[in-house]
Amino acid sequence: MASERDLKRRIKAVKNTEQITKAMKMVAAARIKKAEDVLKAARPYSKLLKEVVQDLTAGMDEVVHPLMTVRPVTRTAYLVVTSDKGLCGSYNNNLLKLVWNTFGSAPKESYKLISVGGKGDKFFRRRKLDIDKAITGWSPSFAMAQELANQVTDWFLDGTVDEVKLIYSQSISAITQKPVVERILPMSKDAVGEDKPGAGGGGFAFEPSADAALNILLPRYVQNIIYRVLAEARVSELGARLKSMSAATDNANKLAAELTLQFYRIRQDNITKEILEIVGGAEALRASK
Amino acid sequence: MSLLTVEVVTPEAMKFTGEARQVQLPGVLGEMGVLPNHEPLVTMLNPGVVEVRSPEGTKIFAVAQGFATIANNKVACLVDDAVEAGKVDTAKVSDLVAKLERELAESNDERTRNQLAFLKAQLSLKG
Repeated sequence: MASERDLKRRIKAVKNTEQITKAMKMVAAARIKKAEDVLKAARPYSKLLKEVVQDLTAGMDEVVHPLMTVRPVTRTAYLVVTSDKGLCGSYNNNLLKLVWNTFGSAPKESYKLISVGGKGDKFFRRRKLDIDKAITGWSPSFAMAQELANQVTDWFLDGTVDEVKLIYSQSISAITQKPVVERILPMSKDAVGEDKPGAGGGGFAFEPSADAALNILLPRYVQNIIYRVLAEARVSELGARLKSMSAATDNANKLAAELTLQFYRIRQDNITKEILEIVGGAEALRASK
Repeated sequence: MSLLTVEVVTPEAMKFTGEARQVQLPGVLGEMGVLPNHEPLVTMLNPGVVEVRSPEGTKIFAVAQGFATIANNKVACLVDDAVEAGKVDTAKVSDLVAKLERELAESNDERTRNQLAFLKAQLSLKG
């Protein structure tokens, strides 16, 4: 049985841990707000861009653009977005499990890999997957999205890869995340032309020409998707961290309560024992008189 | 007289919304001025300078590549990046310009050229 002193030490340790996880929980809660703001601030641009692309494609009989060419797939580029830091529960684990199931055992010639986030980088190195580009210590910015988008569109256009997929964690709600695979290239006609609001075609004239407009707009569409995904992955990560740190705090709290109870019980036992000894000793003394 | 509603939007944020009597845009076919009741138009933009002229004064932005939509007296400039005059970090931008010019001398990359044009537009706001 643990001694009083041992228990006291353990209780202190558990409470210390609780303090730390509580602080981390609060930090995550504050950051999640900021990350959501980033996501929100991106909406006006996304919305307008989508409207213009739909308007543009609505006026065309058939939309043809190199970024929409469907080829038989011999090689796929994967862009995997993980977090830099741990302590976010099963966030990276679930994500990387999906990655592994998607192309973990595929031959090296069949994929290109861009890894965003320190956790992904470590995982791929350990599993000896070929990483073509690794980014660690990231935070979502459009410049970063643009760089990534340029890389994958270049690969797609020069035929290095025949499709591009993103693997990241979707943020379903503040505390629910779901790892998903999303294909961004070739762009599907649905993506650029579907679900247009009733009115549609605003009868825009395009300057200098509709084709030139596609050349400007479609790459931005890809960049914008990647930017949205980066921002969303960050929200997801913080949500996962908030959840797991909150659980850790609760656990520590419960454990500390249990240990404290145990501590009091032992102390009570010890005191009882001592009183019994004293009383016993006194009785013995009196009897011997 | 009706006014134009102007928005300068980047993927990261809404940089500006306001009203204007006239907007100058760096269109790919050349500098263009937009007045109220302009016909619906989508024009591609080169990196350059956007001027928003309103009764209260003129706002000037250096913008990167993008496009603008004009319809129903609303002008929306969707550009990769935008910096308002007076908020340009001259020292940092000059350094970047020098770096990009070296890069451009080696490889004539279109993206680098656009980036450089954007930076130069920022510097031009100062002078």
